[in-house]
Amino acid sequence: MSHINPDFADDITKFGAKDFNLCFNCGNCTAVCSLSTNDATFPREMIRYSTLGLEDEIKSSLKPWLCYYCGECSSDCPRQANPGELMMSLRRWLTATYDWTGLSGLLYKHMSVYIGGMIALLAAVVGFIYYSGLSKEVVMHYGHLFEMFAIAGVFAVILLPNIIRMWYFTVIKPKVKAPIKVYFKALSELFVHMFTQKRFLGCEDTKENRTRWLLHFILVLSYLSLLFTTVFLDWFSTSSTFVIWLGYVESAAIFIITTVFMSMRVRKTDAMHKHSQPSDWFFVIWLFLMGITSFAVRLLIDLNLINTLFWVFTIHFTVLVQWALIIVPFGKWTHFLYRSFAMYFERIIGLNNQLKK
Amino acid sequence: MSPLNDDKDSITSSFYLTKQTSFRIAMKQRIGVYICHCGGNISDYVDVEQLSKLIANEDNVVISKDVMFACSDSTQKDMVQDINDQKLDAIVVASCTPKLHTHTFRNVAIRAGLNPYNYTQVNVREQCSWAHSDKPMDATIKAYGLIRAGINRVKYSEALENIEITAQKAVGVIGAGISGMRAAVDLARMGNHVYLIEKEANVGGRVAESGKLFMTGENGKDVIDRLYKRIKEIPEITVFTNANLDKVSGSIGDFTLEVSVKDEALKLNVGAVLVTTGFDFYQPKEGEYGYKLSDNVITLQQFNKLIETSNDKLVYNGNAIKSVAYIYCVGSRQSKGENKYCSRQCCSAAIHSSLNVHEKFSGVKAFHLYRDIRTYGKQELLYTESSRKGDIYIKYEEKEPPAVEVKNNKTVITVKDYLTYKKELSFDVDLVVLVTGMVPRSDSNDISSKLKIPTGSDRFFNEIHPKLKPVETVIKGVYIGGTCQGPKNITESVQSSLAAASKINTILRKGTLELEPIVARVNAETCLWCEKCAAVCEYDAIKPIESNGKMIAQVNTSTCVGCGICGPVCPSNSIEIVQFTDNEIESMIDGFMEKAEINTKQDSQENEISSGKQIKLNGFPKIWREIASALDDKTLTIPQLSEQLGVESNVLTWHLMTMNRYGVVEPAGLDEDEAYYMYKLKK
Amino acid sequence: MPENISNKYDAVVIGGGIAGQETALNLADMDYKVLLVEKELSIGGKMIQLSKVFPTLDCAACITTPKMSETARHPNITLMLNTDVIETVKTNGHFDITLNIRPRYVDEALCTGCQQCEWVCPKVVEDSYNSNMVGRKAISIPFSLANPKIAAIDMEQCLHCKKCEKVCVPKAIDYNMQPKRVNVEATSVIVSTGFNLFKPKNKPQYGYGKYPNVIDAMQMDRLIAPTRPYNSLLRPGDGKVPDNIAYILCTGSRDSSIENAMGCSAECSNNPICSQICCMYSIKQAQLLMGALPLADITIYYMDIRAFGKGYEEFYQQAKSMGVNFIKGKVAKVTPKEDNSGNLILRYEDVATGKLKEVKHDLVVLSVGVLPNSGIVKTFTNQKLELDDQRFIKQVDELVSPSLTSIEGVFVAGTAAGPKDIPDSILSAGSAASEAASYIKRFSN
Repeated sequence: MSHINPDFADDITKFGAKDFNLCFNCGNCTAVCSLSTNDATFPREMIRYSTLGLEDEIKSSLKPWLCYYCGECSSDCPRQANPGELMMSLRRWLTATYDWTGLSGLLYKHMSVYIGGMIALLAAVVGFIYYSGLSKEVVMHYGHLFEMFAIAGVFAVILLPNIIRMWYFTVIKPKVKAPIKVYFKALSELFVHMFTQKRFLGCEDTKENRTRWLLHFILVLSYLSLLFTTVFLDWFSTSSTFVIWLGYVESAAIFIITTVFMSMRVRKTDAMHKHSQPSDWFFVIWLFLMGITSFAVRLLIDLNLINTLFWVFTIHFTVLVQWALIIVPFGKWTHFLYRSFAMYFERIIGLNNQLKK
Repeated sequence: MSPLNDDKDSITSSFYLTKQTSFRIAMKQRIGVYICHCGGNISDYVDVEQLSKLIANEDNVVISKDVMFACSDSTQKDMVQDINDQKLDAIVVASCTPKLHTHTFRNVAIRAGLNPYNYTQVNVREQCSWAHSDKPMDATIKAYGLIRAGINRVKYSEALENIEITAQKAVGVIGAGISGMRAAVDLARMGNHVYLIEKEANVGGRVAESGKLFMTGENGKDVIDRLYKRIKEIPEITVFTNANLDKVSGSIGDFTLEVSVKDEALKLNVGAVLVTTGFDFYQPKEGEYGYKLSDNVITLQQFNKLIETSNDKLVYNGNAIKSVAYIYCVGSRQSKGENKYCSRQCCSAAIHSSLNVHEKFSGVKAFHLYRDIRTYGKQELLYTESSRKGDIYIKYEEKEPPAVEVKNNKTVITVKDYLTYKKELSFDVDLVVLVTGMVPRSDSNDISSKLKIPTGSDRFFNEIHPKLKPVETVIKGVYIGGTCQGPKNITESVQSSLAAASKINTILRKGTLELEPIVARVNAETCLWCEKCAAVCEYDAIKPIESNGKMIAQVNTSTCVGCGICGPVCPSNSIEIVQFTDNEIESMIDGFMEKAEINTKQDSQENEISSGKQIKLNGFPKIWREIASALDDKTLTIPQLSEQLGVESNVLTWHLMTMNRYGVVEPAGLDEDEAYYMYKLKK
Repeated sequence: MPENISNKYDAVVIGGGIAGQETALNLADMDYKVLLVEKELSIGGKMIQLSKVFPTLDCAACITTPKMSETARHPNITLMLNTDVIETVKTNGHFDITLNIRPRYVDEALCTGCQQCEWVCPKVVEDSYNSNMVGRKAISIPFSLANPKIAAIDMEQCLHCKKCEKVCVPKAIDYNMQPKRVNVEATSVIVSTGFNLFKPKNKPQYGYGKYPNVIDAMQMDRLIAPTRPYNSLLRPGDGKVPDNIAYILCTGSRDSSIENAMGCSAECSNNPICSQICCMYSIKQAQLLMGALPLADITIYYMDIRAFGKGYEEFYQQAKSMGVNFIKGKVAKVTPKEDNSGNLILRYEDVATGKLKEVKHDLVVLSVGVLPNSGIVKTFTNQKLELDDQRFIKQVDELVSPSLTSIEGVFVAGTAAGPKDIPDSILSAGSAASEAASYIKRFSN
């Protein structure tokens, strides 16, 4: 027996859900969804759980991560209950639920905390740069060190425990007892989805027009490789022409593609861009800033202007710190991670069910 | 043994003699017979073409035709022409029930100058083709018998004149709820005096008891006040409150309503009666969803009162109400219970109450436990609005109704939610509201027995036909409006009572009205006034009168409904019903029993439209010619033709069917797997 | 049209469907002079197209044709067919109405309805009475039960071959007939212009107009009717006898996503309300199909079954017990089965189990909804005839006087004011007649 929690609706509304209670359970969204299958029907089930406030059911479900917000469900919904937006909100809610620190939920729900955090980091960076008395070169060196340690730290302290929690909620608690070999067998799923977003191609729109998927794909590749280029190839200090050009291409790709995405959100061209939340904006704007400031910093280095225009690096460093300490561990960046793991866990559950049969 | 019985034969024969001399019945000699296909309703089972040919050979039958729709205007015109051209003196139409079309064909007779009572309708649809659709051969034989019975009957038919009576331009409206009040206004405005009779001390009925009403948001009491003010300004309306209808006598045009108002007894003379007595709310049984077992279970009406009377906070029994569960279909849609029907307005009413709660108080959670949400028409917007406000809808099935339990001072509901694959859900609420349906009033038996209005299987008063006579009852001059007829919302109730007002005005407007002469008739010579007929007459239509020095029975023709109950009880066979005389009935039996010889061949399927016309296709669409040459001497299905001609099958279907319609091609049976018809050229 | 028609009426009824006829008959029976204006070539409205009607399963023709005859013959009713209202002006308490009678190119007084012209005419055009599922001739009677049963020429399609003229015995054909303006004066006006059916092409997800075996419910009613366009109950795609028929309820009703659809034409708009009749007519058709095709499977895909009227719930339960399959779930899309069989795949969520289903049917019926038909308001020029939010004629005192409109002396009857089934339309017509009669009486006193 499940207990109804009518207050959940208010809670999920804080995560961006809008009008989902208008749902009259016709099932049109599930049927029109190109990604919904008989093994996992959504979004109506998730809307229903949200209406009834069945948190345990939602917490143990991977379905919100299987949704790519193609938008058909929302545009075809006879009551305009925004099923796609609810799925998006559930992903935010799940992100908050997986996060052991509780910061994620705080940041999603309270704009002021989010902005406060961002400002605090800005102050910290500016303070560090201008009041630590360190030379510009040392600062830039610390910048590089920060990047390395921040990634390692965030991953070890926040992301890894959160993924383990996700695994616990969705696999262990529902009593899926999969043998280790299944975990290995399913591993390919994790990487394929992480790097290609293959499932996104299932959307009806994407089938006809692959541009959006392609842009998304290039963006992911550029982002990951720029990360690699700056951290391991030390782009800002390298003298290798190849690495320098590689960095330029990667960072340019990031800020160009994010510009396209931002304009889509402004113009609200498709269903998924109709209801942008602050967290969506922060994500895309900061990614854009990451791309453009790193491009600018390297350009200034090459033009030998970095010392005179050091404030550019200050901006870049600020953006980097905010990105690494807020958006990556607690913001939309984690969706990328959780989604890939959801695909992986889903595969494990599927394989395990096959084994049982 | 009574001496009368010994002498029975002579009495009977003298009766016939008297009748035939006094009414001068000459057997009809030139009869026209029309047998209707009813567009297949009859002709799919009864071989009407063959019957029409056979009937042509009957004695005294001059014309016998089979027609697609006897009731259609063109056929009616043909009949008028036949009657005039062929000098017909009687007609028989074999079609559907006389309930539907007696009037239609009587009017045909009138237009042709024939007495409308020289017409007989034979029911070969309801009583034959529909009933025996599994045995077309036997249905044809039965129809043959029925039609011959009709012909024999019409042979003895008498030309009759309608009875004209004076009509009181006054109407008794029973029940001063919104339907009755509203009808009273228009009846008076159209020039009738109205007696508005209300049992309670105040007018306004259920609407006056209601708070805010759905669709307009007006307050029930304000609506009634506004209407009552209007009534008081109309001198032609007399309102009686605290009034009880004791007795009704008389008949259309001239009813007497005996009404007691407190201690005073009144006799009101009216031409027609409009019954707008309304409904009762279903009373939940003790224990039904915890009703009466828990204080926290109340009906929607009680809840609406609570909304009305609460001010800043919704408080019940001293407790603030923060959550409400509405359970729908209480007392309605009971597949195994007494009330099988849907009460129509309760979904909207309950949702509207929930919206009122949201408007007046904040933070009240609502759970709606429903079976189907029936907010039809524009009322759907109420449902949408309630969802938008966050109300939670849970669908349950009749076989697994929600359970209401009181545990530790909490009212806990458990329900299997159809929308979550019957997951068992539980939640606790501060208040449970039972959305109860409408039932016939507890005193409706009393009204129906006084006015002799029949009730349907739902126990509400019954109209004659929902489309043809939606406000008329089988009792002439007695009309029904509003919810005494079945569940309705306010607009619908008013519409029906105004429709009744309209119908009443059409009969009373002249001050005189015509009635059918199908009533009882007494043979003055043989009647001995034994009072047996008067004793059985339910309409009080027979009274004694002195005639030729003896007492005999006399029939009040406007009260008599021609029910025929007096006939069999008369020991001297002195009373009979016009149009149902022994002559007519016996000849019908003879006609029906006559041996029927029917041709068993069943291949007389001929296309009505084509009647053997050969069409030249010059100038016709090219595809017609292609199809015609492809078919030539062959029979082909549409897919075969489509493949052969290289034409898309839907385009080919369209043209082939047009060709079929205009008699160029015709079907030649189904192919082997019975999915496609084969077609051939029509020669 | 008789030449010497009087131009003064107690009431002008606009629209000769069931509500218009009922209102006209009620008023005429009260001895008021009524002019009934109809834009089509015959009175009868939508009801005359139907097969049988719920919940009594009377054949629609058995109920309408006598009403049509009575209306056409009533001494107090003047019929004006093929006529448009051009303008209605209220002056000094009465209405001046300008009407335009379009030419039918056949002399009504001479034509006998013998159809000889129709037989010889070589031009085949769409038969709108049969929802374009079959052809008729460019000169033809409107339909077999038409009243009056008089031929008319579709001049836009006419080939001018003059074959009809040659064959017409009473010489009724007149190619030079001109439109005629008529001015009448009326004390009251009753608007009974009825409704439009939702155009299923505006829900492109269901493939109407693209797949020939997706039809709308009016087409199905035509297929079931005894005056059906085909020799039997066949599907229009290839003349197959269907044996697995699906109904998609709420097509174009309770739907606020219509405007979002790709290919939605300019005229299409969201329709958030319920059409009130579709559940019941679909159940009716299902029952009739069970009788006509005893071996066929009938499935009705629904959201809520709204069987609310007298005897309707019982009718619904009866359909269930007859074996009609009811599935809760809105069909999201219809796609053709890729084997050229003409069969269709319906994709929906079976809400009862949460399973996603793709099911094959050989004929799909779209239970299309009721939309307003209120263009008439434009003809009221000096006073405004108001519409409600759904663009139906606004009832200004919905609870107490449901027939009143924003103009005193103009009344509304039937579905012009909102979706209604036939019994409710008839009651609403009775109510409009009562209001109008009271108004006329006050006026003439």
